[in-house]
Amino acid sequence: MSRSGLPAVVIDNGTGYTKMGYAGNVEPQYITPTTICTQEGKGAQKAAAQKKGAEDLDFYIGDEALANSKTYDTFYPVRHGQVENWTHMEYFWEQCIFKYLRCEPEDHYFLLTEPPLNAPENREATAEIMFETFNVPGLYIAVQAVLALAASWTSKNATRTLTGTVIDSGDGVTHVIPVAEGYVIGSSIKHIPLAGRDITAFVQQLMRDRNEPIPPAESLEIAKRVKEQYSYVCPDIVKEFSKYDTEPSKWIRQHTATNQVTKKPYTVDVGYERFLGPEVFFNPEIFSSDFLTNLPKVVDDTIQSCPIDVRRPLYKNIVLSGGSTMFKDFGKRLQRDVKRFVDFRIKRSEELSGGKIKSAPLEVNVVSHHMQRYAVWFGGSMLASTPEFYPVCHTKQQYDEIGPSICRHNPVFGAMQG
Amino acid sequence: MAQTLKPYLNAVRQSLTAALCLQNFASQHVERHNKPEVEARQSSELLLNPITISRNAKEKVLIEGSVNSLRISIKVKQIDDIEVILCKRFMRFMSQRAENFVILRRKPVKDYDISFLITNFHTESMFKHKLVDFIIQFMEEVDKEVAEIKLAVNARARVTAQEFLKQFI
Amino acid sequence: MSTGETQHSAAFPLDKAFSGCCGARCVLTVVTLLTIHRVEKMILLEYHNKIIEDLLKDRFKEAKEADAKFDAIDMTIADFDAVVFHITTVGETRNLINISISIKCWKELEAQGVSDLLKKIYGPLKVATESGYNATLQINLTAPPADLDKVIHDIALLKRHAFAAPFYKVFADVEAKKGGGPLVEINYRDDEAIYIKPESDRAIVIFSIGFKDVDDIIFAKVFLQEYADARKTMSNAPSVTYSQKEPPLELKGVKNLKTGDSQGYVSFGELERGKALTDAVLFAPHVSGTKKEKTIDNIQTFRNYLHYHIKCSKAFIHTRMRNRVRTFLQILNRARNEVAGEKKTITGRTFKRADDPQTESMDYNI
Repeated sequence: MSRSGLPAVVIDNGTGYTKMGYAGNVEPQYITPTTICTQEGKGAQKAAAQKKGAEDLDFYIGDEALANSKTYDTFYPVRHGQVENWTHMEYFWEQCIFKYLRCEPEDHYFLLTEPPLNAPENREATAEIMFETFNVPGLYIAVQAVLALAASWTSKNATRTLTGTVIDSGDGVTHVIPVAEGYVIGSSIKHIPLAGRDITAFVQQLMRDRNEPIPPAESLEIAKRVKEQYSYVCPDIVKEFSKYDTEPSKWIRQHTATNQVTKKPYTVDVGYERFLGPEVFFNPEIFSSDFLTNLPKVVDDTIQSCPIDVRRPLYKNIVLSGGSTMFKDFGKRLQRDVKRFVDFRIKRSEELSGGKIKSAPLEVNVVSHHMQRYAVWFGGSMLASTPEFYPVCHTKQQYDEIGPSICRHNPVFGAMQG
Repeated sequence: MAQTLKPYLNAVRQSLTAALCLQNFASQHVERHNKPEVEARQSSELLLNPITISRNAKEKVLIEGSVNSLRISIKVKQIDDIEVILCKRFMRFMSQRAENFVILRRKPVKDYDISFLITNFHTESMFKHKLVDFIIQFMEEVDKEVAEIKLAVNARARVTAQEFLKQFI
Repeated sequence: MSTGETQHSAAFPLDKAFSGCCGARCVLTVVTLLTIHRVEKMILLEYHNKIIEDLLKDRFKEAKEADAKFDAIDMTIADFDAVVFHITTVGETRNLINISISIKCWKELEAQGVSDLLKKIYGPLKVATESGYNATLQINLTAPPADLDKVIHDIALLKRHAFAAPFYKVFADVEAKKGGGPLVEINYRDDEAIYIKPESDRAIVIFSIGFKDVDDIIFAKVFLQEYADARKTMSNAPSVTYSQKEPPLELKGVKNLKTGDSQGYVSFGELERGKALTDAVLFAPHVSGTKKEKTIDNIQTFRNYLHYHIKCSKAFIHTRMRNRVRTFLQILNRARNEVAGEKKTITGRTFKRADDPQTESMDYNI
């Protein structure tokens, strides 16, 4: 707790959704699209003298922005994880703080997040807004991947380390980010252009091909529902198919929904898509024709491209984050497949050495935990509620004395010493 | 007031055009170095006499010339407290983005609000008359902008005060 | 005390036991309470806590589903004025939700009868107070009340109701034409306070407001001047005066009388370092009858409203500066005389535009 005894505010501005809330809680208080709608394009640009005063306060954010998108212009201030429009971002924060969280920013420390490889100039711009406009007493800008690692400490078999490989899969894109002692190994980050949206599309396509009686307007919504409620990751796709064929009644589920127009209920079968949806990560060729490398291979490649002395701890601590890693047994399958690559490589090198070199066993460990969905926010909430958080924050006094450059560097904290 | 602005800007324009007579000049102290002499101040023979052009006590311009560089510092009109802080914020905001403004100095010269440093390399890669245009336009618009923001803040204050008090009626 | 008591119950809309004659008046107030939260364009701040309202609405919606399971909640959230809420589910079944509030100046509110007031408003919802907090409400997910939305909204207004206690009391005095009562002091934040003084025909509410940033004092001056001026055009509005160094006379006299120790002077000393005192004089029409609720709603948000709009102005100034800097950059870039390089299309062919806008369109993310 800060001097004022009030919890810190944690805001994670993602490309798609903003997660915001008070530190110390397990869930963000609000999860809302990172959207803002304003009147600036409509009504043309009036001369400053003609303006009456507070016109610029006529805007909405998040879900309310989407609801008002007919009469306003909608903008997405964050693109690819980075802030594109600082003016919109400033107004977005303003409403987060005063309307949703309802706090006096002068009383609360703030923890904000940034994507890996963010430019230090962006941190300065953030600091400028936070300190000058909102007068926050303290600010810390954390890297999302590091927070995801910290979130994994809640798992039973996890250690309090800030070294590990983060697999962050949201709606738009999947990242594999190696982190060593709290610092991202930028040159080794890899992206996979497959994520939640693609799985939904694949499920939708499968159900359409089977001519399930879904009204076309609702097909995307149903696909999303099916993905979230029934999907799981199977150990072997061929065996799974035969399981379904021999005992369909045991495996095929029924999903009931109501037609939005006629209000009549209808039932659809949920079949192979239960395991085929998440399989997109492990056999991308079933869905995509341009991206063919499966996730375990990408993870293995990522770690292999890192400095040799961190590879073992990176294999040992593979951490999942984001909604698209929530499928049942996702971690198990990933661990098994990565292990296969590793074992094969060790075996091969032993063969090539003629049995002279024996490698020490290499541990591959994928950490799943129940905070996975909002792992980044949760990690921030956890770290910002510890006493270590306050000393590492940049304070308003420092800002007034030195300037925005103080926020270029945000020291790592919270990991076990030594 | 407005009548004195034109001659003032004209004087600045003429002086600046004359002073922007820069040439490449290697440092006389460090081999293979090329320093803006107006900043280095190591050889007095390379410096020209600085001139101050002032419109009134609160608005003035300092032009310091040298063989290979020129420094122009501007003091912007600030009448009341609110203009002081608006001006301070605006100049700080610009200095924060100095790398985009290639000729902007990150710190103003003492007693001035903002300083530009123009070297011979700038005059070689940019049109001299357009550089002068920029400075003049900057001086014109800064005043206007500060005044406009002040008006807008006042208008906002009025609207919010009325909205708030309306609730009581 | 007993007269004050009846005043409360008569004026408070939610009390089931109000007498018949003011029934119509009370119904009116309920209507205003319900429409309040539709705040136009985010100029005014809302009076209720949105997090609590949204959370309870969600939970009740989930509870309606047939095989509803109740997730555990353990949430600590803040609100304006250093208020902290703690929301938890109770027991194994998790169908009971506790909402506890902690207020810095509870003791002072207690002296103004806040406990009785909350009991009156919330009735059976108010339960034994959770340790470490000042008041606790409880609501049952499995037994939603008939007017669910209104009850939820009232729970979200917990902070407002708690802070309303001293206002009710003082306003009741004014309504009864009992002037000269003691000055009520509510130290609701670190070194910031509200003072309320009843007079025979009006109530005076004095805010001492602190500013952490020196620039904010200047912005605040601009804003407060407008409050003072606004009365010229709005005849029924309360009159507002402000002073930056000298505390207003009402306060000075009473303070010295009341405490007579150095405490008062220390705070005066602080006044000189970036503090403003504002006093709003509320006339009889504002503090009685149907206006009373609205007045209390509104006057409570004053301090945050002022700070909120100072911050909005700064955001607006940032926007202006960003736009201006962008145009300055365009002007400067016109001075560059570099020859625009040939551009390639995706097929590898080159082309040249007649009027190359390259330098004009350079976009900076500022």
